[in-house]
Amino acid sequence: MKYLITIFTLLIAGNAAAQNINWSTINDQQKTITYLNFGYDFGATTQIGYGKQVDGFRPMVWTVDYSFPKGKNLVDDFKVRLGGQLSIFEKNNFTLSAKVYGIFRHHQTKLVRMVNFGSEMSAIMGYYKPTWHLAGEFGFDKSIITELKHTEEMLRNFPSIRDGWVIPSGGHFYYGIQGSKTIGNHFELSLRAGATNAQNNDENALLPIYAQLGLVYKFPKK
Amino acid sequence: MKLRLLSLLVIALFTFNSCETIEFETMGQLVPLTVTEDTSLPSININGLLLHSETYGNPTDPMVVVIHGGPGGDYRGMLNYKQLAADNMFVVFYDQRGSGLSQRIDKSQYSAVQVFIDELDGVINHYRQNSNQKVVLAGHSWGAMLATAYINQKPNTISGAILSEPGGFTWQQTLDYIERSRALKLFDELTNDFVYQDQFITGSDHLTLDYKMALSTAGDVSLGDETSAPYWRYGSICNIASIELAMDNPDQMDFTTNLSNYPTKTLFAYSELNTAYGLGHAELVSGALPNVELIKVMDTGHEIPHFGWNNFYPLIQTYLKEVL
Repeated sequence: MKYLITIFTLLIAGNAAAQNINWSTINDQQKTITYLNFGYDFGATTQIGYGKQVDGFRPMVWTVDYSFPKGKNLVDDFKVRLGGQLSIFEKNNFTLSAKVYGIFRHHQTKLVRMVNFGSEMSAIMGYYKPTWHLAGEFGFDKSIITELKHTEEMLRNFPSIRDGWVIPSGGHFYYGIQGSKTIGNHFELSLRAGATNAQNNDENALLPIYAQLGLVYKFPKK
Repeated sequence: MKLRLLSLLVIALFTFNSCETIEFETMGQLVPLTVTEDTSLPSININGLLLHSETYGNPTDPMVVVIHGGPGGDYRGMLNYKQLAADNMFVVFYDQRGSGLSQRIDKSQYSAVQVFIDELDGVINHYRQNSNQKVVLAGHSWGAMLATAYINQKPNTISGAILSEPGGFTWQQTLDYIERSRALKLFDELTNDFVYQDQFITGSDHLTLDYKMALSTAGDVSLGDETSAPYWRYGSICNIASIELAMDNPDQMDFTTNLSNYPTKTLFAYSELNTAYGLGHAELVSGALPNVELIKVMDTGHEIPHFGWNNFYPLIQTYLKEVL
């Protein structure tokens, strides 16, 4: 059962709206985090995730998270993300870090089912203190390839519509701010907000913004 | 070893699903061909643009010109009107510029509301046999607004008007209605279906935007209707450009300035199930017409000509007997 739960967590965890990491509060005693976020990311979304610091030549945190938009069907639309955040450079409480993620998205409406593979890369520069941080971020969320499978209802309107893979299918730049505040020994309140901009002068999203309010729990070392 | 396993997983995913690739640039794969690409489709040339158009009935009978909604929709959801051909009416359908199966055009071709009015005038003149042939306009939603805009400019040329739920005859009325009917409910499945797709596919070309607009109907069903009415193609550029035009030029959206000179009775329909419209908005909007018969069409939402046709049709028949 534990194995199944682990697999499930790995499969469903992930979101293009990455978890904030306060590099000053990740330490040898608290290497594992879990988080719960709410916000707007191409829909009103809930995100759950899990992260673990790994030893390496630079501080690095692997995270896996899962997000889904609100609605009566909570499993037809979701986004899974698996990747890592790496601290690249630190000086006088300033840290430059980078994130790289692979993304799997699923979207089902009464007209189409979309299955998508994508990636996300971003850079974060900020001021990090042991109890809070404030940073700016700039990233790109690439929708690399999408499979379209149309429903009977769509076929009624357009009987010869094609199913198949669309390459490349799109992408959005995003930029904004993020911050966090430590609460007690194990919790952190985090906030992200910013704007999105579609690639190549493409039409922007209907609501070209993102916002995320979340709670991070840092597991004490056993 | 891990990389090899990952590669195998990706290959397996592609293998178990369809491997066919779709090019958005290739016509007819995700959105239907228009009259430009498929010359077998019935079309007319109006003011230099190729419009998808067809007619039913005897060309010398009184003409009913059917005007679809949107902007950017098409007349497929109004095809019930062809039943009027059996009542000795000559029924004319056309897809407006950049809409449905009509020719795609750039944003620059939506320079003023007047281009839609001139286009309607061109369609009427194209089919009208002589100046004695009576003309009735049958407009739905945006099409009812356009019909009213035409009557406002040429009140003496129109023998009757059947209007179903025009958003408004002024831009403020229209905005108020849009606000009530299209409010984003962030915790609703349909709203999230409407916005979630934006992260999968982006584009700026006609085909991509038309396809995305078609998909958005999954989350953009008119109030009171369970699904959208049938359509061929939503003209996204037409829709975007027209909304921008109206926002930038609200004065062009006032179709009431000369309506007092139109004494003919208008049949004005609103639906039972579209709670954003209702008697209140129907009275407000139709108040600019000097002679109007307000009717409530039962068992339908906004898409009255499609979902409410069985109740609407007898009222139209009675009305046409009265005005023709």
